[in-house]
Amino acid sequence: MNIRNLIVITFLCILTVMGKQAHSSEIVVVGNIPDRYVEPNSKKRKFQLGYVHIKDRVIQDVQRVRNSRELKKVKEKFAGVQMLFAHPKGTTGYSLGYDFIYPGMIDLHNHTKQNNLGVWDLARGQFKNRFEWRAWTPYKYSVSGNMNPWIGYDNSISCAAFRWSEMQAMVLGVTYLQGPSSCIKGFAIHQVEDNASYITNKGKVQAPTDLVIPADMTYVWDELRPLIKDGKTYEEALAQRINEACDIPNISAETVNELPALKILKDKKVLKEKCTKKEDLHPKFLRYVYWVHSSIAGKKRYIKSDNRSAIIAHLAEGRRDDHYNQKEFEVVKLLGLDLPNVNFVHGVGISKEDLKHMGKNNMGLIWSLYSNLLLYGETLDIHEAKKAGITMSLGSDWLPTGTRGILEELKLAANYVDKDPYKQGLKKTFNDEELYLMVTENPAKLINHYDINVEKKEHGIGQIRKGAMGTLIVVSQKHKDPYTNLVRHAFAKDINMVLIDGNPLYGNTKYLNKLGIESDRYEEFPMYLKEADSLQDNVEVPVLAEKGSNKASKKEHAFKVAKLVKSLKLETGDNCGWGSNKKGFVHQDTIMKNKYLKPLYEETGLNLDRFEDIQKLLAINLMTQTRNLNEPSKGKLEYAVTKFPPLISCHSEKYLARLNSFVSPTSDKDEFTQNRDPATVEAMRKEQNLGRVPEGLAEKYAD
Amino acid sequence: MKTFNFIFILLFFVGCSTGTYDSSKDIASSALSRSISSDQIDEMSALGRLLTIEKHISATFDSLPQKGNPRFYIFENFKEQIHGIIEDLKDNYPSQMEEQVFIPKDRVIAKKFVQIVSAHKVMSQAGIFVNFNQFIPKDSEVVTKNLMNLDRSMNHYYKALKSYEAGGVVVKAEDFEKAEKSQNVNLLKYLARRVENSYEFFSPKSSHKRNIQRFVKQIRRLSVKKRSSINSQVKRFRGYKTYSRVMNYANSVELPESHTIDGYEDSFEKVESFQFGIELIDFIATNKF
Repeated sequence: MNIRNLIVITFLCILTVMGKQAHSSEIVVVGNIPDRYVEPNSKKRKFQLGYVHIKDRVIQDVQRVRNSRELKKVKEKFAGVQMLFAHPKGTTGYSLGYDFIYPGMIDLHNHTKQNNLGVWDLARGQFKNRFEWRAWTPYKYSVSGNMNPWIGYDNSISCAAFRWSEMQAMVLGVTYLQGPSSCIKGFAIHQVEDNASYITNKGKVQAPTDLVIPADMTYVWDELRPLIKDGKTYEEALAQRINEACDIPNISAETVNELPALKILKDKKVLKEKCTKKEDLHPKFLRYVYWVHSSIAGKKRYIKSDNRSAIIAHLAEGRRDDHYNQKEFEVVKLLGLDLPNVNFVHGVGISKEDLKHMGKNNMGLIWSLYSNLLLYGETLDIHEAKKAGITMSLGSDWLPTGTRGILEELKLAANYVDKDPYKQGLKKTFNDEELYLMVTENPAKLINHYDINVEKKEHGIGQIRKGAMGTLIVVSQKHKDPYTNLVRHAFAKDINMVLIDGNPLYGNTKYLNKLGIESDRYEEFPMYLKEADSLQDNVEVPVLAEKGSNKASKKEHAFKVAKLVKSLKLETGDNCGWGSNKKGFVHQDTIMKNKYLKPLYEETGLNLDRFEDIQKLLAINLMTQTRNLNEPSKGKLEYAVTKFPPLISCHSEKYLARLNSFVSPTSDKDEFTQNRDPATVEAMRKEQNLGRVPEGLAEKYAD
Repeated sequence: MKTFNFIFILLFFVGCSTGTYDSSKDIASSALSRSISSDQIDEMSALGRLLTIEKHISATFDSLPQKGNPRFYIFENFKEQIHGIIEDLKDNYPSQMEEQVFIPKDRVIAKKFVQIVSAHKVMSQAGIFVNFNQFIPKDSEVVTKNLMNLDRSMNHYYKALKSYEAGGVVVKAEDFEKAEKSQNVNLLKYLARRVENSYEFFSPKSSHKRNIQRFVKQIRRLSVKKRSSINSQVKRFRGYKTYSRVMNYANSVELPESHTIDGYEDSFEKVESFQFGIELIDFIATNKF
């Protein structure tokens, strides 16, 4: 071999080694592991130093390391493999001062398009159910008036909104986020509804917002309920009603959910011609049969199949004593959807008896505490739900009426448990380890992705065990109890590493550097666009009138605005004071493979793989392109956004202060208690002309 | 006109629907309709009276459930039309609009008021189509009341125009027909925009997409200002193969699952924009030209 070839081969070997260090699908993380996963040396501790070996997305091994000698053996065993010693002082020797390793957290409830709106100031616990505030005119201006029309200008803009939500969750240690999203594949964390997030043979998690449609299920309530109460099933009752009203052959309990029957029932012309047997047809009969039934039938086929994952839908969101809220679960039972792996978000109005029913039927609940308290002044009866044997997980909901992520939700939950407003002994039932499970193992179980069966290629999540998915977080040790540490003491600053399937995505710059990821390959965090709030005053941005605009003109305008913001020299800053705990978001490279983002990049230079550009695009649109600002006939200026919400809460002192003091375990002067004062609430409701929506629903769903 | 009024009385007794409600808007529109009927009218300028009507329209608009509600679509178009005409009158005829009359006695201005009542008529007739559609939720009692109040207010303009028409100079009979066709074309274009913004959820096949895009473009090309009569343009449009294909697509549409904050309202918004949009386009194209 001549010298020239030797040099080339050596050079290639060096490149390969460097590449392996930076992009390896194999990694060993050394840190403190909670005692759920490894046995501690000492009974006085609830954690033990250990390592987690991840390869090809899966945890290959989890072992404790009891002393220096064992640690030395680990280093020898994994020589040549990327190793992260997660110690804040850079130690690689035996110590109990390492960071904690946890499973990546799982957030089962989020509305991912609107997280760039700030907290909705008008929510003060005054509403009775979710249909009430959704119909309230000020809400429409606050949300729709600020999200439109710009969010619909081009797909690249909604991409930016979804990516923002992913990042908001990521910086708080969430690695699986539920919520509608597009063009996020390979960008940051996992989407719960995306099967590529798992190694599994199961079907996708289904998460329709609504399972019960109040406007149209009056048909079920009025016409099917009497028959079902008499002992018929949903299918028997519906088939009977269809045959009473329509001259359509072969509709029976056995066929009404099947595809051939559904095809006929989805033919408007056939229904109009054949459903004339009854003169006094229920006004919602045709609508229900044509629009709604097929989706119910589809859900039933899915949830009864052997390879189902789970369903997640809203239910009974509002106050416990709201009449309609109390009835929604009954509608679920009428539909026959009270089945295992059907999970409900909120569930505040579900009665004790129905909670027991849910527990028996292996159904789950997702608890969005802050959102419930902001909107309704009360929340799910977690004590009764636990007594009923229901598995519960946390969900952040969305920033307008919720938290930025479940790490923040945990703090509020802990305060709520400590306060124990109904004196139910919550602290005993919900110790910190129980709350910890609500963001790790419980959500995995709810979506049927907890079990590990390597032969069947099922690799569960939400745990640090051999065979589980290698998606972990590393968090500063601020308390010796690992569960208390995460639940009560860890904030965004303390999320030191987010590993997605073994790949470092985000973390302390020091840790990233140790893994061979240098500063030219990540964006430094926190990062806040300093001039975002003054964009409307300081920059002349073109506006597109809604009337007369079409798809082509909207896209053209979107790109014009995007080009403009790219050309502005907007500074980013950081007031969080994280010092040596600054983080890095590793550069992703998805845009050239994305049909919406590639043209945006080529025409405007905006790269939506980079947080800075995501932030710029959203800021310019939210602060200058809203209906509230530009369309006086449709929006209202007083509702226009005046402050662009930051990604990380440390840039919003007002938000953090409110969240931290919202529920006080030691004082009744907290906002939670004030919002529950009946006189205050009634006065607000009267002033705001509320009441007709819940009253209307109560009438329609009367006993 | 009598038949028109009868239909509205009939509609008044149509049952309630579900949908959401803001009672403050009921009170507002009743108050407005009372104000337009009172003696205060005599002191109001033509513009002042129109702006009062516009407030009434806005109050009615705000009382309508927005998502998945075909009544809202029709009314939104109507509101936009009225707003455009009022802005035109305000900007270009300020002194004439100061007169204390319903309609200044000026042919150019009166024809704009003909457009206003025609927009109202077109909206109302499309509303009848909505109300007799068994697959669409009925208007609530409040919305029906608001619309009736608006009809009462608009009747002042109908009467004023009819009295001018009797004179045969300021307003002519053919002005109404032309204005109605123009407003129907505007409504077709509005509905086409809705179809354009929603079809992607329902037409995954590229051939379907192409046909729908062609359909939308054909509607955009319709114009009352062209040489060929609008009737013949619409007849030609209905004769294209694209037309019958698109009608077919709209017959059987699945309710898409919604994952957004608006839930089922978002699902119905998509589906009604698409399916109802096409159905109403068919109704207008078949019956109004």
